[in-house]
Amino acid sequence: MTARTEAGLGNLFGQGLLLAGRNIRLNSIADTVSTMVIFPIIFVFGFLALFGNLLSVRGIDYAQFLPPAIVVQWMFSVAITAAFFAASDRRSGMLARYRALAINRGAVVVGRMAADSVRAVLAIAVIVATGYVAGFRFQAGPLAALGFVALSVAFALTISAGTSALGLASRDPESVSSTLHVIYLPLLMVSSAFVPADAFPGWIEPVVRHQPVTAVLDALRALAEGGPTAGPVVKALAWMAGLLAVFSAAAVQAFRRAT
Amino acid sequence: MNGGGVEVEGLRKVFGDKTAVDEVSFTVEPGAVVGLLGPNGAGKTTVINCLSTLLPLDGGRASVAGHDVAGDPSGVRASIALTGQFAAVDDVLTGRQNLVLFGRLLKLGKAEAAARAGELLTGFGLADAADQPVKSYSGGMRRRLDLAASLVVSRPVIFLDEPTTGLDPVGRQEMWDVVASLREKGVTLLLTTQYLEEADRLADRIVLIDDGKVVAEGTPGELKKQVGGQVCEVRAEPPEDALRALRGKVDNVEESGGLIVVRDADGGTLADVVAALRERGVEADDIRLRRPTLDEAFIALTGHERKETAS
Repeated sequence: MTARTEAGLGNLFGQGLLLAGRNIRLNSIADTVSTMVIFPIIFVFGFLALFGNLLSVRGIDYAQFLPPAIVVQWMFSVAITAAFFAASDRRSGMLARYRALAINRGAVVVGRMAADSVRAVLAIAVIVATGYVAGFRFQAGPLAALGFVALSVAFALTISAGTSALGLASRDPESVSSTLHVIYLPLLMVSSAFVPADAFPGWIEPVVRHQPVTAVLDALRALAEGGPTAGPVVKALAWMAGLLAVFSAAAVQAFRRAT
Repeated sequence: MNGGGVEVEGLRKVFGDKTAVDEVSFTVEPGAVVGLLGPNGAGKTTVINCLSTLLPLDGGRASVAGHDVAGDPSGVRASIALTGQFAAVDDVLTGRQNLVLFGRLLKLGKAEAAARAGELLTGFGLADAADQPVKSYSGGMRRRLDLAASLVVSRPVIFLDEPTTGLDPVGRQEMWDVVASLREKGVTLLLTTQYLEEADRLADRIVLIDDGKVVAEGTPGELKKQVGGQVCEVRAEPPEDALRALRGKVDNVEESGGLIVVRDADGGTLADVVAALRERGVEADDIRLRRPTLDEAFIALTGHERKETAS
């Protein structure tokens, strides 16, 4: 009973893991087979059917081009779900309960990140497996493939920090997630996700080329296809580091204020 | 587990341009039960949130079980159990899973956490529903599980924020029994409530707060006294006749809900009332002298009626 229950890395990870287990159990209610498996398959084959022929005229192997886009789309979905649960925990009083409990201050964050990572990895596995059926291949070796997964998960966690800041500041999970959809859909559409940047009209092309989602997509495609990877990966990491700094400051602020 | 009191001195909390808690001071002696009573929006929950380290203070100081809230928040957290305003338990988990999780978070071993969960489930009358998901629980069951979750590890000081809000009469009674049993164990209890009856019943002392300020403090009996003497109630048909008979003969007469009420009364007033009624030949069905209710005390002390809330 006298054991220290707040300070130390042991508490951080021990309690973080317990909370991750709790979060995954809660997630598993929201994640059905249809959202985790069938939707990605529909997206991969649906877009392939729509744009595959069109883009092969431009010399693009769409089965290779598309899966990273679906991965990025799903990383957004992971982040939006994270915000949904953050707002739910605030509304239900769960967050206040954890904050008043003699547990490590960071355990709630570690628990959230771990659960989000598990969902991200699951989604990546489903999408990549579907992609393989369609003709997608990791052409740059296992290390680059691992980098692909790591970068995707890191991207999910980065945007989760931002979405969670919003979620923590709200008590309304539904409105937070619909607001976030309004932000993420244009970001994804106006990126090189589904068609290359040079397919956009001239006036918007610079926006497409220089926004963070495109940077992440370029890095993921480079990791999947091989060729020069350092440049795009560094650019993506720089974007993510910047976003993470802003997002995590906002999330910590919101976390401290949440009652 | 005695030895933990709560001391609050000049506590202030400001949200934007609204002062939610203004110079609030009170003390909870170790082992005492103090009720923070006030209408919705009075600042009760904000006080609890400040004391449980969820919100930083904007002024004043507070200590819980000897730990300063600002200087030693982890010491405070290790001394308190907080049961917030909403039953904060996970719906999709079972009652048992909820309690085991809290036990494990507070570093009980697996077996110990399971044993403690079983003990609490039995003690709170939840043994039959222990392995059902919480979403199938009634409001009263959820609230009891919520309280059980904060008692997984014993703490000297317990904060209960509106423990019976939203419960039906049966659920409320069950919660009251649980609180009574905690009090017998000698824990220090600070509870908030909008229900005067509840404060009257559970608390040794009441701190009445309104609009962020303490407006009165004392035992339930003292507060009632502070409002003035007793109340003389006259039941007569029709009440207007009795009212006419009493006007001018005794002070502080009014009609209230079909009864004639004379406030700040004593034995002499009672005699005057009887005499005045007899003089006019008004027959009363019932005349009695009683102490004011806390509802009446509230109106007298805050100047307005207790607000009814939808939640």
